[in-house]
Amino acid sequence: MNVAANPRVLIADDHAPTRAGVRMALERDGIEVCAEVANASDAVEAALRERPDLCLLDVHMPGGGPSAASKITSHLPGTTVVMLTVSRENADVLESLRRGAVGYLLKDMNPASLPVAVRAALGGEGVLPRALAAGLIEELRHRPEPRRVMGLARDRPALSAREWEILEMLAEGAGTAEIARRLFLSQVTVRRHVSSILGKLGVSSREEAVRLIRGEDPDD
Amino acid sequence: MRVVIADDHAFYREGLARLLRKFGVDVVGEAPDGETAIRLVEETSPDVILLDLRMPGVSGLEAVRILTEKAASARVLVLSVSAEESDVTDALVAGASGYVLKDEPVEEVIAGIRATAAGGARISPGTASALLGRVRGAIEAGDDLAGGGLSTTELQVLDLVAAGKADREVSERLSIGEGTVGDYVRSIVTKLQVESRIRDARRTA
Repeated sequence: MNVAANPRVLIADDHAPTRAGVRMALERDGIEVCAEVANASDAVEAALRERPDLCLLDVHMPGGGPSAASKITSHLPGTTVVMLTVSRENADVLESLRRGAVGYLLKDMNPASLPVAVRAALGGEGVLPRALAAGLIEELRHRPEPRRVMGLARDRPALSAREWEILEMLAEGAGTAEIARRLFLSQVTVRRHVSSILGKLGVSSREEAVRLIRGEDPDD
Repeated sequence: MRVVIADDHAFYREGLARLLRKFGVDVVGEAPDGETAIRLVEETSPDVILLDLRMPGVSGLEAVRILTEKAASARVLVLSVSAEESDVTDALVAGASGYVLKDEPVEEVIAGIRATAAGGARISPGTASALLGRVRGAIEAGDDLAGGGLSTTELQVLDLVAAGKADREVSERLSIGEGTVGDYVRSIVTKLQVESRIRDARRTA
C-alpha cells in the first residue's frame, strides 16, 4: 500500500486535553490532523467531509467508537481506522476489530510511538500492543470448539480464513448485504463464498451451517 | 499561577499542559504517578496540583492526603473521569479543594485553578450534580447529617452550579457577592468533611 509522507488523520475523543496531546504527538512527526471531534456522530460526519487517511477513535466516547468505526469503514473503504483507548477489555478489542478497525492502541502508550503505529497501520499492518494480543489469544483458546465442524474437516476440504469470517458473521445474524459491506466484497462474491461454505460443510442452508458451527445438530 | 499536572496518560498530561499554557498558566511540572507528583510538589512549590484519581502506585486519594498535609499552601484540584458521588465526596473529604470532570471543557479546569489558587474551592457543574443527588437523597431519607448540614443558600448555590451557571449569575440570582460563591462552595466542602468525620465517629462509637 502506498503511504503518503504526510498522512491526514482525524482524532475523535471526548477529552479535549487528550485530543491536544494526540495532535502534538502526530504533528511532531509530520502527520497532519484534519479534524478533532468529541463524539461518534461528529466523527462520522467529519470523516465523510475530510476523507482522512486514518481515524483515531476513542472506544468509550459518546455514541461509541466501534459504531463510528463500522460506519466510517463502510462508507470510506480508503480510510483506515485505529482505536486509541484506556480499555483493555477483550470484548472492546474484538468488537472494534469486527467493526472495521485494523488497530487498537492504549492511551498509556509512549506518545512518540503513536506516529510509528499510525504509519504501520497505513502500510497495511494490524497494530495491537503485545499485552493485548496475549489476552486475545487466551480468550480465543478458551472458546468452545465447534466439534462437529472440526470432525468434518478431516474428510472435507477445510474452510478458508475468508469463509470462516463469513460463517462467523452468518452466526451473528448478518445477511448477504451486511457481510458484503463489512468485508468490502460484492454481494455476488459473498453468495459464492456462502455456497462454497455450505458445500464444504455438507449442509443445504445458511441456518444449518450456523447450527453446525454452534455445535448443534444441523438436522434439528 | 504555577501548577503541577499528575496523570498517568501522557497524551492527556501533555495536551493539558499545552492548553493551560495557552491560557497563561505556568505548568512547572508533569508527573506520571503519585510518587513523582509528591516529589515535584516538594521541588517546585506550585500553587495548584492537578491530580488524576486513578494512577498506578500511590492511590489518588492517598496522594491527596499526603499532598495537602505536606504542602499546606498547595491546593489539590482533582481531574477525574468519575462522576460517582462517592469518588467526589472521598476526594473532597481527603482534602481536595476542587473537582472537575475530564469530559468538561478545559475552561472548567482554568476556573478551578483560579478559584483554588485564591484559596477558594471549586466544583464543576458535573461534580455539583453528583453532590446534589447525594444531598437530596439524604434529605428524602430523613438523614440528619448530609442534607441538614447545608444552609438554604448553600443548597441553592449547589443547584445553580450544577445547572452550569457562572459565578456572576449565581451571585446575582441569590443576591450574594460574586466573590463569595467560592466561599459557599468551600463551606459546602467543609461540611462534607465534618459530616464524614461524624459518621466515622458514630461507626466506631
